[in-house]
Amino acid sequence: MLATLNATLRASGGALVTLGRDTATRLAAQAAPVGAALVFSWAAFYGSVVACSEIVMTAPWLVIPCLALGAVIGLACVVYALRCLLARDLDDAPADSNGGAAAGPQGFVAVLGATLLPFMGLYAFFGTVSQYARMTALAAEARYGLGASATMFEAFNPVHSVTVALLAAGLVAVLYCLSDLLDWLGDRVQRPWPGLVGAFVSALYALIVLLAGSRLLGEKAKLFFAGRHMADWWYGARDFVRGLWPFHLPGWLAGAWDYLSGAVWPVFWDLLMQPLMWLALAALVTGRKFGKVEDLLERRLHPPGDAVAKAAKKVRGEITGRFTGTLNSKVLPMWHSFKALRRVGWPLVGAYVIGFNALGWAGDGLWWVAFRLGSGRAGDFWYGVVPFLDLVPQVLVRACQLALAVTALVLAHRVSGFVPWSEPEAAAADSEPAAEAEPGSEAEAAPRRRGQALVVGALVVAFSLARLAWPLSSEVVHRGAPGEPVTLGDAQVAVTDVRLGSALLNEAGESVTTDRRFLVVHVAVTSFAGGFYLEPALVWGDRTYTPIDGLQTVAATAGFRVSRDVVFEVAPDDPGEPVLRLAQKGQVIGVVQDVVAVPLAVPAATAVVGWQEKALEEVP
Amino acid sequence: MTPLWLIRVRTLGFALAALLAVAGVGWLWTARSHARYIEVTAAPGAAAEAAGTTFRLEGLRLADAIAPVYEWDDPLTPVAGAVFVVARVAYSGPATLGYCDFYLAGDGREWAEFAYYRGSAEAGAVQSCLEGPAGTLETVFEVPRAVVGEIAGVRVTTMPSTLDGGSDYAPEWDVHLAGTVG
Repeated sequence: MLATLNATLRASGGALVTLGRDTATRLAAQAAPVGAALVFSWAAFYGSVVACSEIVMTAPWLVIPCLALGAVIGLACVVYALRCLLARDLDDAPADSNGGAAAGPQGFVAVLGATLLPFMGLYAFFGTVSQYARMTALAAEARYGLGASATMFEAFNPVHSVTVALLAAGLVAVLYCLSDLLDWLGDRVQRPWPGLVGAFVSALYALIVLLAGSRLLGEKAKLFFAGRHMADWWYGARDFVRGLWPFHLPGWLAGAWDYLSGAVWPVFWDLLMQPLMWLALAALVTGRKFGKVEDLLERRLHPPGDAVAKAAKKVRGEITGRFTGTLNSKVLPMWHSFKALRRVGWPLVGAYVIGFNALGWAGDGLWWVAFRLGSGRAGDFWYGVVPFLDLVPQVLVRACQLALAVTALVLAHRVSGFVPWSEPEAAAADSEPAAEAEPGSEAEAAPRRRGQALVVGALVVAFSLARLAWPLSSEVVHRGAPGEPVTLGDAQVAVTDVRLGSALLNEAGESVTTDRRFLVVHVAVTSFAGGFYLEPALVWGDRTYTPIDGLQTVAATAGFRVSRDVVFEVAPDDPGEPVLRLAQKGQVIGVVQDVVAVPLAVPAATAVVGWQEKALEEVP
Repeated sequence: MTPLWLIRVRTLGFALAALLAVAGVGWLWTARSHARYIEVTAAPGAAAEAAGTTFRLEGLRLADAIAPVYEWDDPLTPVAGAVFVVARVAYSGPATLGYCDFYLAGDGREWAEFAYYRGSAEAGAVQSCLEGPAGTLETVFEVPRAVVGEIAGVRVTTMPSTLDGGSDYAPEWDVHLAGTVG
């Protein structure tokens, strides 16, 4: 086992070096067109966002086609970038049995027409389309002021309006059928336009589902269900089944399960699926067709030549085709691409997955550095620089990731004979067990492959845990200590005088009591330029407390120092050390958040503690 | 084999096109994000029109105390080291505005209105520009005494009244009225 571990680690390292070297060479050769294409993709993204932020208040429903157009143009640019990265390999593509060009090397428009629809499906599947909606909301806030994004989302809210609900449901149904029709038409007419229009329709569909459909199902359907007798039956049955369970899981086991399922699994899934998605997209750009699930099933169930099966095939194909659309357009390309890599060996799978994610992590790292360099800045500053910072992940990192995916695909082609540019028949042949490109007999190779798979799986899990441990989040935490001022941009924050008691006594001699505990802490904020606002919260164990008096902010205007007591009502049994978190308000939501975090040493509780209820303003 | 000069020209073309795309979208992004307000500026003593209303800064003066909210209270005084700056703004227009907020402009920073000011009845001034389509308004800012020299005027943000503020969008205005204390 140790030998397998050692060999797999060395092989993965070797594969990573090979991939890295080949990726760098490939990217260097095509840096200009790939860079330009990705810059245009970036421009399409932000261009459509700016255009949508202009019309969002007057014609909110026009936002959907506007964003969809941006997404399609952006994707077309990515397809072009992939095409450039594959250019030399496509020139070397094998000729088919008739002596003509194989399916792969087609014209760009033809490839675009054939790939954009599944491309958009995969793109939407991984939530990329939602970035358009999120950034439009942000742009609307900057353009029209706070609350503008709420107006935008309210326009698509089917819960509050029957008209919107009916419109959203109708559009989802129509666009779904239209997308299906265009898919069918694309197969029949062999022209690029059904694919191009289909991608646009697919983007419309994804955006409507995202903005209105998800709420229709997530909220309206739930509310409808909750109001029916059927809900009682369901909850009753669920409680009955739970009652049959003879014991409760120990707390640590339940906690571990929650952590694994709630934190580790999503990261692991994302780490594994994102590289496979891009690999599948690269394979699609070669012109490769992956066949259909129903064809594969048909081949398994009924061998060729069965006359009765042929007659029934068409009918079954139509029926199963209704349910396998997602599998055909999203899962099958990823599965085949994954299999192509696996044929070369698990070390290449591991090297590719980890290399791809390491690049993404490096991109996040650049954001992380930028957040720290611009720490303490207000929302206007961050809003202004967001698109330019986004050039790093959308152009630099994306270019490296695309080149890596193409390199891995070509490597799979060279080593294992995987043919990216092939017809469905060849794709069907791919689904058959393939001979591994490994030395030794099958009996020796099988356990080795299992061992390698385990080691590579463990490597990806370790990488997931590392990402969880260093999340490189947009939150910039400034650690402080009681009595030590923390500088945040053009302001200074000081936390002093921590008290714990069962009753509060304010300046007017009025008292408030509790059967829990009051934790009182004195916060002083000095602003040297502009208004500065902090939102206090107390994190103690698993609980997060907000101030008892509904105090939303501790704020100071330019040239003033404002101080006051912030009071939290806390449970007496919270474990460990509480941390006072003071979050800077007015920054760009979801982009950057500066937080002053001060661990508080809690003194012994007294019966009554003083409470400076009114804020004290002074000139420092 | 592609000639080297063609590769260079093509590379340069791609680089230029990418640069233009970044500059174009970047400019669009920056310009539109600043388009939340329609900006107008008035020189000291001059008037500026916004949302169908004319604004003019009549003057800025210092005050060590201002009238209280209730007559029976003591006059309001600034905190130690600070001073009140009273701005007197005349406005007139055909219709009442949707809102108007005032800020005292300094050197790269500004101060919002003092929260507890009632308005000076003696001066015949109104409390808010929402009280009618025309009038003279006095508003008060509390600033550190050390920054009085940097005060450069008043900024008014306003918009015309709309029947339904939720869906009937009207552009906001940003009126810069220049002036110094004295």
